[in-house]
Amino acid sequence: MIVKETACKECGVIVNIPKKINFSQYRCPRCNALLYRRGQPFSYIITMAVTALLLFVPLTFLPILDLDIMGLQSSSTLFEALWMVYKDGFYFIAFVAMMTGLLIPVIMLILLLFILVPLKHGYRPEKVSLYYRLYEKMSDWGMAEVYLISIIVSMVKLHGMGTLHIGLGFYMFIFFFITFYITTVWFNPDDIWLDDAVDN
Amino acid sequence: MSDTTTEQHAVEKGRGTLWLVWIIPLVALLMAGWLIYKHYAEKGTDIVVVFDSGKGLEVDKTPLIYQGIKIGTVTDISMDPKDLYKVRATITVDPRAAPYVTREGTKFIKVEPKISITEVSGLDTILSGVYIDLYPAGRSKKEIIAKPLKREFTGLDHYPPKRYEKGLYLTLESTKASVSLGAPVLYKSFIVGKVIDKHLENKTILYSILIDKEYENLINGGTKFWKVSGVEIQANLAGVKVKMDSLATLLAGGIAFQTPEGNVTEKPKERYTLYDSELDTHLEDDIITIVADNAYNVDPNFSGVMYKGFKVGKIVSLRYDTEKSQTIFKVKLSKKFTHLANEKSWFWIVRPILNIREVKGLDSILSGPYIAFDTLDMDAPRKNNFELHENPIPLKGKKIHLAAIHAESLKSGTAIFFKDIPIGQITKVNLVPRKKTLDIEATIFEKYVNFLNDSSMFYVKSGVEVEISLKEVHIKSGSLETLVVGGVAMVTLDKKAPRTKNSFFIYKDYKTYKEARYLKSGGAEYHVEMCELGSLSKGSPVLYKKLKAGEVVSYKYIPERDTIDVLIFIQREFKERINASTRFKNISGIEFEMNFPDMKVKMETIETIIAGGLLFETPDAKAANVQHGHRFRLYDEIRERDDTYASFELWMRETHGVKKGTRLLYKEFPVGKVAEMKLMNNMIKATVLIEKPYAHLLHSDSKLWLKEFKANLDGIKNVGNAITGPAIVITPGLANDRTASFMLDETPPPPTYGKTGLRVVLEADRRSSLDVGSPVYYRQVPIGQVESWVLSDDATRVRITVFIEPRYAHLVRERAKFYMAGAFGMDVSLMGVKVRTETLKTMISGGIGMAVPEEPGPVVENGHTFPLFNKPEEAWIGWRPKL
Amino acid sequence: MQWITDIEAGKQLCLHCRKLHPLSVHRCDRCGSEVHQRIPHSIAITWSLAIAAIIFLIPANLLPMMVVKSIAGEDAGTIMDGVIYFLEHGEAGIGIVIFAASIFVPFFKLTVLLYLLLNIHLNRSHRAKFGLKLYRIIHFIGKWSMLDIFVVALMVGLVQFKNLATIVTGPAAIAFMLAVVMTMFATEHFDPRLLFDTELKKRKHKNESNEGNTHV
Repeated sequence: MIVKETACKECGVIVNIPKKINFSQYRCPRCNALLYRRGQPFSYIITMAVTALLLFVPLTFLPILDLDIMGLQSSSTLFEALWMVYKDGFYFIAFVAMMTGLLIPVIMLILLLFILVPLKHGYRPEKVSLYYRLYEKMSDWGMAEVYLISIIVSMVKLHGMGTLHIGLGFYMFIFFFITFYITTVWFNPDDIWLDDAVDN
Repeated sequence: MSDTTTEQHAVEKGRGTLWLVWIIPLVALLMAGWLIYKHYAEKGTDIVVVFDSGKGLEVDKTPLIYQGIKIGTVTDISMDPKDLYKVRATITVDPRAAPYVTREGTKFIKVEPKISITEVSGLDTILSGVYIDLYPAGRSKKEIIAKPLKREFTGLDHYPPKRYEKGLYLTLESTKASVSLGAPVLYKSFIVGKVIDKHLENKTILYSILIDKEYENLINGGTKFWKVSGVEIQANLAGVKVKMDSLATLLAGGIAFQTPEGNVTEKPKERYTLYDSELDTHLEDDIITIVADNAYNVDPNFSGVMYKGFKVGKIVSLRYDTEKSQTIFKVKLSKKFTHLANEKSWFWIVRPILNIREVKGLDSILSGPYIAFDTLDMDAPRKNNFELHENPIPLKGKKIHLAAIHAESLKSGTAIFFKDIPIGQITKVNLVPRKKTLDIEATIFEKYVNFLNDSSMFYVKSGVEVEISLKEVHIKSGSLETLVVGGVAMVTLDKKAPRTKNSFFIYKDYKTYKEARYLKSGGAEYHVEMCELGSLSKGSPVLYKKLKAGEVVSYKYIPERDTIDVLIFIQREFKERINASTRFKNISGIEFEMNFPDMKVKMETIETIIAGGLLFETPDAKAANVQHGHRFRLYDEIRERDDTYASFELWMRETHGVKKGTRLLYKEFPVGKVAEMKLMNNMIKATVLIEKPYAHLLHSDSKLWLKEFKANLDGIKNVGNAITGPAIVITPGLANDRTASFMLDETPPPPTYGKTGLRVVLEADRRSSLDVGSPVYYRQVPIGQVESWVLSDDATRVRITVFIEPRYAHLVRERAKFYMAGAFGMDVSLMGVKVRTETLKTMISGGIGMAVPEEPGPVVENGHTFPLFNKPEEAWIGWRPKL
Repeated sequence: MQWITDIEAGKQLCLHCRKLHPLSVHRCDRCGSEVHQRIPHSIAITWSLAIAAIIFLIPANLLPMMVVKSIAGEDAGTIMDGVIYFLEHGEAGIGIVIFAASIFVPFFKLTVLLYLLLNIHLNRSHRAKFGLKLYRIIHFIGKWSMLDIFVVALMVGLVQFKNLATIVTGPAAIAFMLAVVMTMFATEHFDPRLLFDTELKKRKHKNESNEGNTHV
């Protein structure tokens, strides 16, 4: 078995992992950190990413919740809710929430397409490394799932106030999140460099 | 060795970066500090305002409002240690507004909803709650900043005078403070402004008024202002007309003004005189002195000087001169009428004189005595001193002499009536020496001279002895005065007789005169016995088929039978109609129908108003004839006592104005009256007569209550009763048994009282805002209302009796839930707002909601008891049982 | 068992593409990112960010998170008020979620970060594995602190009923958000390998002292 020398990201120990990868997971012998897991084929990921992006389009204008208090109606989309915060003068909160909750996941998906489509067409991984670096930086800041849970919490909070209707936007958001999540799980960054590793 | 180089390299590079890294927490510290500072700075400056009452103020809720903008909130309320009757409210003022608010001279006004007759204000606070209005110390920033800083203020409960409203501010000077704050300023009865302040300055009352901007041009230098006070009653006995400028002026008074045409260019003045009445605005400055023996109870404040029924002058002062024992009236006349006070003028006093002989000046009963004057020659030279006479000006006419044996009521001024129209006046009563008779000089007014001829007879009318024949009298004016007033009556028997005589004899009374006339007539006399005379009197007509068939000649009391024996005279042509079956009825009296605002007088015949009357009918023409002098018993008197009315007792603690004759109403319809009032054991017992057909209303639980006029600042109730006096209203109950003894309630029973329907009892911890009449809703449909409430026997709960309309009674099931659909329930908290209210009505008044579960249980019986919950459970709302 | 780490091996790992480079390399030839053996100034940056986060947490918990303005008045509540409200109103589940996300998570994260930093300073090598486990936890839960920010944003957006009721963001929201962002950056800048380097240091120290002893 040809092995490749690498180091654990979390404890720094030098480990060898097989050069030709089978479908196993590889973990650090000292700290149990994940060293490598096999991702899905790029074409699957691209399909899923495109699906997720398509789902995001209706999200921008479908209301997530309708609230009806004594005949007064109020409904808002995900963007509108944050827009109100912006209008109240809390620009920073609106900006960060907008970025983390909505835009970063979308940007991540777009970057992923920018990474995977060229690779699929035989480009060298170095060409897309900038996109990958950005993707990597953002991955910690994508908070779509937090936003999703917060919608549910808000629903419970608003429950007593009046009649609450869940809008289509909410379901869209759930589907978007699921596809987004699958996309990110399927994608294993190590796969970008896999062919390259042979040269080493 | 590469190791060392990297390390050295790292250290070198790191120093600067490392140091920079610590900027992050520093910035964080600054930001956090700034956030905290900003938060507390934005909270604002605390000021303290001391109010007389903390009513309506709520911590963290009550806002401080300036021109509709919220600039602060009441953050604390405490008692004022300096004056425990007062309350200190701490108000946190928005920091942007604080520099302007915390200045000496800023005024704080607590605004509450006020609904009164003069003012409906602060209505916006019904929903929003009380707020504190602000009124800054100045208008411009510069002006305010110049004032010293201040943190503690005294709050006001109503607006200070100068508000920054647009309009014209004027000051009016007056001597009396009879106009209230907020009273309207009227122009042609239209409200164009209001009184915003009044204060005393050097014995003068200064009113500040504000004329609305759009009406500013109604005012110029020549504008005259006067007070309008409430009610203007134009009364005479034919009717009472009540005129008021507006309901508001009734209680608060008001100010009216008029601007003469012409000098429009003159600019409005700062100060005007406020006259006491419109009349005062055009009075001449010259003062006329009128000397009298007596002040005649004239009230200079109300009485005026009248000229041919117009008020043209005012009594400015009234003083008694002890040296000359004279009363001196100082009078000012209106400019247009001053020339009428001249050498040919005659001033006399008009006052009500009501005695058996004379009824005079009835119009002054309501208006009070006044001075009247007239002149015989308008062009005579002016004069300023007059004498006040007791009698009106003698008019031109034919002078006649009347001879009388006794002066009786005859004196100068006594009127001479012909067919009850005054046609003349006695001008002088002279005692003629060595003669048995008096020589009375009288004037027959010029235009009536034709009625006087040689066949004329005169007799003394004493009060009510009036001869009126239906054929002859046509009274167009409803004025009673001419009918009631005694005096000298003139009868002209033959219109064609010559006019030669100048002296006549006055018969001493009607009877003697009659006797003279009856001598030839050939009628008959009968007796009618009755218990009560009513308003019958000598001369009262005896009617047959509404025609006058005779008249009452005299009456006397018969002690042995405790009755009154009335002697009547029946004319010859009707004598045949009287036989044993004849029934006499008393139709005396006036039936007043009282309505607001008119008073209508309904009467059988005009004659009966004054003198009452007897009516007879003869059902059996063939009955036995009766002799001249036969005695009859009054027919309807017997019947009324026995058949028409049932009586019952009504007990009351105070009379409340109830008196004999007070009406008993059922559904606003008179069904009886109070017959008698007696004080018994500290209680008042009234015997009430109720018409027999209504006697069934007297259930043992029927309510008898008092309907009386009430006026206070909350409103006016039962206006009609102000004139008609209180009435007793019967609201029948439901019990099967009857009673004849009741207690008078001072307040009306609930509107549902005595109605058939379902009554259930709700037990609650407290009454909350529920009141009689508070609605009960089922699915927001009103199905009933609260009828009454009582404390439970052990006083642990409140038992609320609820009346459910019969058509909804089937909805009330055993498992139904009742809850307070309380006055706007709103739970507000950080995490949400919960609004629950049944309808807008309950939002203000409170109400009860009912929910019925899917398995409702059987329909309940009267008196079933339910608990009353404070709020509905969420699940109840979803219940949709089919009932 | 004695583990050979990259330091001992004289190698450095590219954190982006996981290519192992010799120390002489400053830029990864595969992915083009800068290569360091350890995240530069990790300890100092983490400290400063953690302290900044702690500072921000003070106003975040003292000031109102959101303000409910309604006809019944104005009600401003801090994070804790919200938690208490839900616990009192029988919505314990939501109460616990908010408590966990908004109060427990930030405090826990900072406590762990401080603990890890102290471990490094005190060279507690035997705690390295436990420390790494904690680090993984805080890395995972970090973003959930943002929950309350999103909730406030949504409520503000939804409850806009003019005079009847409106909700506006309170000043604590911004402080809280900054605190969360600071902790996230702190976690990102913390290099967990430093926990294990303490062992190496100890070993080195021991060797040195041994050498010293022999010298002496």
